[in-house]
Amino acid sequence: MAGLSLPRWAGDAAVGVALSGAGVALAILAWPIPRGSVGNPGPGFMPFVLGLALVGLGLACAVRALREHDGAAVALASRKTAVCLLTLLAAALAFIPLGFVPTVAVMLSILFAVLAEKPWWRAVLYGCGASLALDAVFERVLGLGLPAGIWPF
Amino acid sequence: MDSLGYLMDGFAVAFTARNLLLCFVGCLWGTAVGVLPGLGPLAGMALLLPLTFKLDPAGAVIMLAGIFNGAMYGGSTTSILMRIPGEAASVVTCIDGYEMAKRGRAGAALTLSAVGSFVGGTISIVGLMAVGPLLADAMLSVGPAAEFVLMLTALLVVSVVSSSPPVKTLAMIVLGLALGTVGMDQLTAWPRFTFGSLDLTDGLNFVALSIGLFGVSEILLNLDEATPAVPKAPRLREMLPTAQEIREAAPAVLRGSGVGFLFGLVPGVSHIISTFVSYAIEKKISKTPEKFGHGAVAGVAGPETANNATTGASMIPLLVLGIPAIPATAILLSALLIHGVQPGPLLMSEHPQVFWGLIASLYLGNAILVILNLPLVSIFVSLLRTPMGVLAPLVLVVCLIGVYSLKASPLDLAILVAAGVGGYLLRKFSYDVAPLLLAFVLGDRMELSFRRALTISDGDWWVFVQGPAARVFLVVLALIGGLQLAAMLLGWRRTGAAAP
Repeated sequence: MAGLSLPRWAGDAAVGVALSGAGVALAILAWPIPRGSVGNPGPGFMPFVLGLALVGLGLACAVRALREHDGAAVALASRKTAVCLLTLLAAALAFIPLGFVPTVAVMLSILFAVLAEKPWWRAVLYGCGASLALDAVFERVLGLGLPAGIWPF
Repeated sequence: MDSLGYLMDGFAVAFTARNLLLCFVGCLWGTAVGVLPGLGPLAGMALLLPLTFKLDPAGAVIMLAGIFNGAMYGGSTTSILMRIPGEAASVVTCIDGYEMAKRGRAGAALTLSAVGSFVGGTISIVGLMAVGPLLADAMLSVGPAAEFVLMLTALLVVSVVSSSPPVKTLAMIVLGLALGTVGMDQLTAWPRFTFGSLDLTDGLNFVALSIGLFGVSEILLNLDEATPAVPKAPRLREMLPTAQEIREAAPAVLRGSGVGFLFGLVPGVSHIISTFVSYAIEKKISKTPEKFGHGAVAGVAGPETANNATTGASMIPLLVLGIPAIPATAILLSALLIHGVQPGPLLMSEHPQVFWGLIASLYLGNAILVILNLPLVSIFVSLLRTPMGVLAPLVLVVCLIGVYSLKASPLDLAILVAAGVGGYLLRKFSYDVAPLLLAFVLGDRMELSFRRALTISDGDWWVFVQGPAARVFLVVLALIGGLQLAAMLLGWRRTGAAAP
């Protein structure tokens, strides 16, 4: 379960700063959109105001975190979580070009091996079997269109 | 035709073989996700939402409402047997339910919880039938200004009752509203933050966002936790409560129904609050308050009833006002909108088969759940034997399928992953993401009402305080705003005092 551990206040403050950053980005991106006037707001009015509000609230969250500073720690992204996240990201990227069956077979093989701690050969066996079974259920039985990609069937 | 006549029509819709099957499947899946710690009603509904696209609107909401109800029932099983709440609203049940289980009364606790939930659910549906049409008539006279103030009030109520600090909740609400501005402006057709992408002109995909925020982030959070031990399920003959237990539970069930119904009308985390309030009331009026925390029957029956009574009542803001009171009803709203059905005061007259079919299916769902939960408790408990290492990958694949099947869009898959990571980080640092989702759903309509009201009034901001409806909402808004400010100031002062 070893992973990144950081003080709660530091993570909390970082999230606050990130929210503020998102607010700044929103306000900047909203600037060229016609804002209209206070009495007749245009399409850029609401995003701009929300951007400014997000800057203020994000900073308030960060300041609050710095004032709390209680020494508690938060475990972040254990090895399993990190592997899971990276595999999901790779699967999302490969899902359409490679197709459902190959992508999910690889994804499940990795995750069964790492998360369920199965031997590699068994994880691959389960992964391939599960991907074919899921394809049968969702594509053939329920009729949801799944990407074929390089899978010929 | 009166409400009873319409309800009979609703039963005719719900009693078709297909809708009965959908209700049953929804209840079954809902109970399963309610039993499994971490997978709550929201993730359960979001995951199956894409499957409802091929159904008619009535069938879609019947199935989703079944999941919602089922998860509420299922959550109590792990609370009682393992002291692990299957979903947040079952936290209170852990206290006395687990104590009853330790004394060998797990079966009775599960039965009382299931029967209490059935009674609470039924009473809340009767309330929905009574209040719904009246409220819908009243809402027809509400203009855009009052509608804007109403939605603002709903979001501020959420920020007051949320489990995270007010400033964090407000930040989540603003973030949700900001995300809701992506896409084509409804009044001028100006493309906002689309970066030339046609996919983004419709805005960020709600389903991808909700599955990411709740489904993916839940899985990631669960991987950081240790796997709980699997309990022994009670046998069928151990399920019957004694006469004394029934006597203690009956008044608590009635009180829980009332508390749950009232709280269901309030936007936010009403399920959780109603269970805590019900528990506090039962303890306060009990002749033996010392039993609470040591297996008090009323401490299980009251909150469990309140939890399910809230479910029916939370449909009122959704169906009559078009405002989702809780995130789970936001998924229902999304399903209705996808099928071209706009919830609101006109729903009853424009789509009576959806409105009354849903109400009838809630009745049916309650009955199915009592029949399902008691004899099948051992099967549901055995689900807990599924290791997280096997369950998590399969749920993630279902998330991918669910999001892809909407529009086959790579952008939606990117939103899923981004929302999953974002939700994981935000929830790690005690940011409640439910208000974000509610604000995202309401954002479009809020902005539209706001700008329409100003257009109609020639830019006069006083329009928001004119008219009786707007004034009522404004008074509520001012009260909530005052409470919010006081809570924030007190929080700052306490934090400041605690700082070295």
